[in-house]
Formats: sequence, structure tokens, C-alpha cells
Amino acid sequence: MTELTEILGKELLFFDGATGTMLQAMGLKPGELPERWNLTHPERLYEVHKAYYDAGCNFVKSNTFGANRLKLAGSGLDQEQVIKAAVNIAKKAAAGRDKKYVALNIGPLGRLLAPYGDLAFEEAVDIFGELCRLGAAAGADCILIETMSDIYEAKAAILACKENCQLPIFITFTFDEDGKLLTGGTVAAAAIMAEALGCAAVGFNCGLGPKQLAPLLPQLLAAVNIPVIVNPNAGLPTEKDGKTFFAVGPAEFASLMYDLVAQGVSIAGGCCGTTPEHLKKEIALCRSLPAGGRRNNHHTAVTSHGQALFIGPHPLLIGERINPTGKPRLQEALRQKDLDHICRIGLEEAEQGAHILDVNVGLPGIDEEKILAEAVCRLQAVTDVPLEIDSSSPAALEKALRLYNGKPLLNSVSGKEESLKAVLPLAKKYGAALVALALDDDGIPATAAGRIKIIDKIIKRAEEAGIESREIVADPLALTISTGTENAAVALEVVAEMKKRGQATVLGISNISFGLPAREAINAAFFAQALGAGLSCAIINPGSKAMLDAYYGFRALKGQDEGFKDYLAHYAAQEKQKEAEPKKFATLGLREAIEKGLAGAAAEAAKEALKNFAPLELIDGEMIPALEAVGKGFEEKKLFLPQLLMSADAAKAAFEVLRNEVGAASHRQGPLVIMATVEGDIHDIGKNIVKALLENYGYQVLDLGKDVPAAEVLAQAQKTGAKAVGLSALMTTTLKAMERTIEALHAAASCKIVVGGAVLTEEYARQLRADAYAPNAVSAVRCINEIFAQEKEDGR
Amino acid sequence: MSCRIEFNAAEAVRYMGAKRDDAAALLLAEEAYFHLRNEVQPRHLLILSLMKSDEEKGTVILADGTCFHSQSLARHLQGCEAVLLLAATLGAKVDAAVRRLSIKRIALGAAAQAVGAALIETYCDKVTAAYEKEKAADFTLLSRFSPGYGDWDLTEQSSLCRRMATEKIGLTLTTGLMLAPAKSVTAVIGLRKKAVCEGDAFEKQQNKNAKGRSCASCGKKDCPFRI
Repeated sequence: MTELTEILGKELLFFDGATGTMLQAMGLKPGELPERWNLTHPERLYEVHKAYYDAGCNFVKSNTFGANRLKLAGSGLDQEQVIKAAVNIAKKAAAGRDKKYVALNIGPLGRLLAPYGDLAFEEAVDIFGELCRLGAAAGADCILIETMSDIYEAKAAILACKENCQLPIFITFTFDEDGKLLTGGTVAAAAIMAEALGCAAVGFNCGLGPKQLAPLLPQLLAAVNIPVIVNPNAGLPTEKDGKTFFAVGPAEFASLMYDLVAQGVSIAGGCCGTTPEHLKKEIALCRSLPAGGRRNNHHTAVTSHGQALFIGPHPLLIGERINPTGKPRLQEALRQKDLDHICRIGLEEAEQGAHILDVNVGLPGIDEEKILAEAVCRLQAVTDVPLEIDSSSPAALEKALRLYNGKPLLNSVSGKEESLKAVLPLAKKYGAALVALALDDDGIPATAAGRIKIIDKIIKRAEEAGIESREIVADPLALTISTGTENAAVALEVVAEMKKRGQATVLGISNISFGLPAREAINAAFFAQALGAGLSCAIINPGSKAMLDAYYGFRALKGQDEGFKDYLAHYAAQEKQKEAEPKKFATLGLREAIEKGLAGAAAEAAKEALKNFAPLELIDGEMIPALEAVGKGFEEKKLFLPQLLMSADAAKAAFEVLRNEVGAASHRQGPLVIMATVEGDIHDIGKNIVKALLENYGYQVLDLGKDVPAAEVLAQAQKTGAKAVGLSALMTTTLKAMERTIEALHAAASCKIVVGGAVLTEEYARQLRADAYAPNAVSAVRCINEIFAQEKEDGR
Repeated sequence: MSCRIEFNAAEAVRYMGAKRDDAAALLLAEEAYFHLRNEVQPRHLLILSLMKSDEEKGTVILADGTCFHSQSLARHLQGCEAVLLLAATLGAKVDAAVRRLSIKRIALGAAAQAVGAALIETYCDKVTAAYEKEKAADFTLLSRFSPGYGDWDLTEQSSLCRRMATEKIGLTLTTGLMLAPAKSVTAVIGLRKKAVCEGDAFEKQQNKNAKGRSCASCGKKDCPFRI
């Protein structure tokens, strides 16, 4: 243990204030890279650092905020030289003094990570890693990751530091006055993830002054136990004559800081607009206060990029439907890599009230490692409901845990030696809460005492691995009562015991009725009993009315639902849904419903028609003609994009009926079309519209997503042998990427290429050597139809 | 910070490529707005700078030395001594919501896309109008001019973003020079001193460039949204 880690949280410590403000005062020009001064004006930086140390600060931040390869690109500066110089200047200023440390300063990369931007998570980890290695080698004492406004970028930075050095990691986020990050995350969501990933301290910097931070600080103190840092600006910025000023002077700043520090802060400093004078006053005033140190919050929490969720205060619902076991439609979707289908299930579960979504894609014959990670990425791009990552494969778990945007729930570890060895290090490294199954190498004990013993063993082993007991969510295991009527009682006894100890619990409720008829009746009764015993989370189908009745009813009875707010909201929503449900459209045929764009009516009509017609008869005789009619109307400008798309949604709803009612096997598998938005392009609505239309025509669409490199399109075209590829690009700057992709495909794959997108014209398309140009979605379908008609012709 | 943005449903319907009186499109737009309105985290930057434009050379130089190269922009800014640089975004959560709605129903996704476009336009109008009222009453603000308009190359998007340090509001550029989050705008707005006497010929000619959606002053004649 170093001196720093020894005194952290025990002695009140002080960061420095602004570096940028000081350098600007010394002549740094707007737009000039501050890092350049490490080489050109080392004496100036030394002066700044020394002034802060002289003021009493314990830490100075090395002048490396933007010393990453993205920001240094084109500057002609050598990254290693810049970082080495920065750390050395600070070390020189600290030399020979007591309790003076150099924090390697790491700022944001300036580019948004996917899915909002185009920077890949692993690339971000790599860029941060490089900076961290160089800083650690130069002799920094700790790392300060600061001004983070995106939880995902923060995770990339923390992981990079963990993987590249042993230094203590501090992290500070920048919030707005509503307590939100630029990407929408809350104080608790950001801080809990940082703590779970092993940061030594967490806090605020920049954006706000001490006054605006005051209401946010209690949220931070209540969310985590690690020491808290507060480095605010000298108030909010004001503008005068095109220049930015910070209005809070040293004395006022110090007095505002005193109030914050007294609430339980362990490290205090400043950010934009603060000077050595601010810090001098702050330190003089606060020095007598004790460090806030660690707190003793005992909650179990999971987070997403948007929110933190506490397991325990109220029972939570975990949606179980993203699991292919016994679900042919989901299996089909997974085999076809149709991840939109998984997202649809997840979104439906969230709408039905699931607080967490279990994600399991284990299916023989698929690459679980790849698909689980992709499913997690796709889900977190469309919802901020936290995920439970569920797999028996440690490799699949690791990849998904790594790419998850927040602190997930990991399902699961058991008392088996092999499981403990493989899973505990993953939970520790990636900062996950952990489901612990009450089984070990000898199987599932028949008694509650036996299962509790296993859970105790897992908790002990977890603690040895550095995971706090509060991170464990115990699963007593619900075995079916059809093999032993005592099974329910055993599980409930374990739940009750865990509740007594304040340990969170989870149960897969429906297992209790396996092998029995009318399972919902048993499930709902057992669920109510488990809730009564103190169950923290239940893995259920949130689409099951009986289960939700039990849930909302229980919470109302137990006084957990103040003013019956949730109960009333739930049943009001159900009533509303009933009203919104389509009346019986006895007179509306399938064709008409699709032409009119009525999804509910189309689904009803499909169900009705299936009584007398085969699916293929309906597709060829009703659905395709309806889509043709709508497409024709669109091309003749008799109807417009909204109607076209509503018809597409209606046809999709009818297709889902055919698939679900009759089974995947009778659904015609059309030829494969690959769709992608080219590299560098993140706008994909056009591609998604074409995809929806193509699927309605029975094509299998392999959607590679947006920002897809040429090599990836080519690899997939070669691997699948697809005869048609659709590419889209929005802007002139990405046409080059489209050209590269077309070139690669022409050179090494045998497929026809259809292109579309806002900037394209017939002439551009010809220049790019595309086989066809589609000015709109309907013409894209026509182009693809023609390609396959020609294929057929040539094949004869 | 959380500024309510007025929702102009008619604009959204226009962006959807539907006719103004299309009832189904209007319903879709309103449904999409219902889903988007709580996801919006609008933020903006408005920076005033002195400027010199030279139409012949096709350059526009700001006080700090930043130089833009575009004849169209220089022509647009003729008669102005200063510009406002504008960056605005609805935030990343809107992008996620559009994705979410597209997966549920593609019609709703396309409507959300259009609603987002309408919201960011209204937001830009609103913050610019507020600035004009408070700080530039003696000036006429010209219409927004963005990289990609006329001959102004998109690659200059990076110098514009760097000059404004758009990172501060969470607005970044991709390698393909697209704004991320997607529902964002960057632009240059010319500030022209209000003419002393009415009926000035120069004034009249310049009014063509003045505020509002000046489709007439845009070179993209085949734009589907041209009014």
C-alpha cells in the first residue's frame, strides 16, 4: 500500500485548480493545444504547479488532459514526449515536499462512442490505455480521469487504466444542474459503476460551481462508499465581449466549498476559473474539517447508461423472455442474426414493467460469445433498462460484461469449484452484481440449510476475490413441486433467511410448476408467497397477467406502493390498452388492412384467414398484392412515406402472426440480401426503411448496421454468398467509403449492388460502379426484385 | 438547461414527406413527439465573432484567425462585419429513442426522425431569436448557413466545431464528419447592421438572405423539402 492509498479518505486532501485558465493568462492562445506547452514552455507549467503546491494542494494534475492520440493527431507532437514532460514538470514541482502527488490527467477523447457516435468501445480502451501506460511509466502517483460526460467512455477509460497500470484511479464526472450527464446518465448511475469497477474515489468536476453542486452531492454520497472528490468551477461562466468569465472569487469560493466538504467530501479542489488564490483560501478554511472518508451504504445496485436501480427496497421484476429455450421464433431469429427481434422482445418486456432484462442467447450451433455481446450492445442502444447477462460460457460472459454500458447483473456463479474460479474474477474485473446459485459440485441440496451453506460459501469466496457481500444476489433455486411438494417451502425458507441478513435474493418463479397443468395459477401463488418471504427480484414473464396481478396486488397490500400509485397506473394502462385494441375487423380483409396500414387489424385478419388458407396462399394472394398496390401508389405520388411505412408495419404484424401461429417452418425463406450503411456514416433510418420493406417481401435481410467497414461487408458477402447487397450513405463525405465498399465487392464477391441515400443520384451511382440506384425505398425493393428475377432467368 | 421546445407538427409532417393536410402523418408525428419529448436534452452555444469576408477569394476569416473557404458563404455574408457561430443539439437520448421507435414500428421511427428534425430547427430559431432580442437589436440576423451548403465543403465542419469547442455541449464529429448526436446543427449566422434609411437598394437585395427558411437562396434546386 502506498502512502497515498493509506491516507486517502482519512485525511482531507486537496486537488489543484484550473490549469487552462492559468495558461491562458500566461498567453496560451485559443485553439492552441495546451499540451504543446509541456515542450515549449515547461517553466510556465512548473510555475503553475508550484503555485498550487505552495497554496497547500496535495495533487496537481499533469498537463495531459488532451494528450491522447486523437487530439494530438496532426499536431506534430510526440505523445510519449508530451506525457513524459508533463509528468516530469509536475514531479519537479513536488520534489522534496511532503504528501505532494502528481495525478496523470485524462480527459475525454472528444468523440462520442458508438452507438451515438462512431468510436468503437475497444478503440477507446486502446487509446486511453496508451496514455495511461506512458503516464505511469513517467512516474505519476495516481490517475485522474476527469470531465467525463458519458458513462460508456468513463468505463472504457477505467478499464484501460486497470489493464495498463496499478495506480489508484480517481474519476470525476461533469453534470448539468439537473444532475444529468450530457448523454443522460444520473449521478448514481455514473458513480455506482465507477465504484464497482474499482475506482479509489469518485466525484464531480467542471460544468457547475460549488453552489450548483450542493444539491447533487447528497446523491453521490448516498450512491457509493468510496471517498468523494469535488472539483467545481468558480461559479457558472458568464460572457463579456466574447470572453468567458467565472464570477466566484476566492473568498466566496472557499466558503461555498466549506459547506460541501463538511457534508463528507474527502478530496476538494477546483476547476475552470479557479486559481492558486482560490485554493489557498479554500484550504485555509477547510483544513480543520475531517475527511469524509468511506460511508456504509449497504445497497445492492445495478446500472445502465441512464439509471441506477437498487435491488432490495422494493421487489423488482426481471424479464425472462430473451431466452431461446423452447421458443422456436426466437431461435430462428438468433440463427438469422435478427437482433431487432431480440430488441423488440426486450422493449415489450420493459413496457410491460420489467425493471431488468435477462439476456440469454445460448443455442446449439450459434457463436454465443459473439451474439451475446451483440445482443447486449443492441439492447443498450435502445433502452436504459439494466441488463442481466446470462450465460454458462465464461468467454461469452466476459465479452458481454466488457461491452455492457454500466454495472450489470451477472447470471450466474454457483458453488461449483469450476464456476467460482471462472466467474468471480469476471465479476470483480468488470464490476458486476452477481447471482449466486445454491448448488455445488454435489448438486442442489434438498434442505434450506444445505442451500444457505452453499450461498455462504459463495459469499466468502467472493469476498476473498475482492467482491463485497452486498454484490451477491442469492438464488435459492425453485425446483418444481411436481417432484416434491416441499420444494416451494425450502426455497421460501432460504429467501426468508437471506432477507433477515439483508442479503438480496432472486428466484426464477415459473420453475416451481414445471410438469403441471395450468402453471400460471401455481406460479402466481408461489410468487406472492416469495414476495411475502422478502424476495428482492423475480425472473418472470412480464406479459403474464397473473404474475403482474400478484406483483401489484402484493405491493399494494404490503404498503410498498404509496397511494397505490403503481397499482392504479398499471390497471389504468391496461384499460387504455383494451380500448386501443382493434375491435373485431370482421369485414376488413388482410389485403385491405395492409393497404390501409392498420397493424392490429392486419394481425386479426391474418389469424382469421389462417383458419381456411395456408400461409403461402395468404402471402402470395393477399399480402404481396397489398404491398404492390401501396408501392405503386407511392411511386405515383398518390400516397406518401407515412402510409407506405404504416402498410409495412401492418404487413409485418401479419407476418408475425403467420410465424407464431403456424411456426417458423412454414414461413417461406426468401433469398438473402445484405444491407449496410457504409463506414463513417451513422444515419441509418433509410436503410432501416428498406430493410422493413424487403422483409415484407419475404427476403432474408442480414443487417450489418451502420458505420460498416468495406472489409466487413465483403467478408459477409463472401461468407453467405448473398446475391444482392444494399448500401446507403447520407453525405458526400461518406461516398468515398461507399466507393471503397463497391470496389471491394466487385473485386472479390459475386453480388449485385444497389445503392441509395440522400446525396446519391443516378449519375453518382454510375460513377461509383453500383449496379443499381434506388432513389427511394420502393424502388430499392424493385431493384432487388429485378436482381433475383434476373438470377432466376440466368439460372435456367 | 431543460428548455421546452415548441413542437411544430406541420414541419414534422413536411419532413416526413407527406402533404400538409395528411391526417395519418399528423397522428404519427404527434405519437412520435409524445415519445421524444422527455428524451430531449437541448443544449447550444452561440459565439459572436468579428468577421471579414472576401467573395472573390471565397474566404471568411474570423477574429481568431479561423478561416472558412467558400464563395457561397462569403457571398451570403456580404455586408456583415460579424457572425454568430451556432452549435445546437437535442442530445444523445433522442437518437436512442428514434432507434427504439424504428424497431417497434418503422413508420413511427421515420416520424420520430422527422419530429427530431423539426425540434432542432425550432430550437435553433428560438435561441437565435432570443439572442437577437437581447444582444443584437441593432442588427439583422441572416439565415443560418452550414457546412455542406452551396460550395462550403463539409470538411470545414471540423474547424467550425473546434472553434466553438462543441464538445462542451456533447456535440462531436465522427470520422465521416457527421455530427453526433445526429439531431444537431452547426451554422454561421451573419450579423448585418440595420440600414439607416428604409428602401436602401442594398438592403432590399440583402433581405433575400435574411432570416426564415430562405430556400430561394439555397443552391440545392432538387431538394425534396424546397418550398
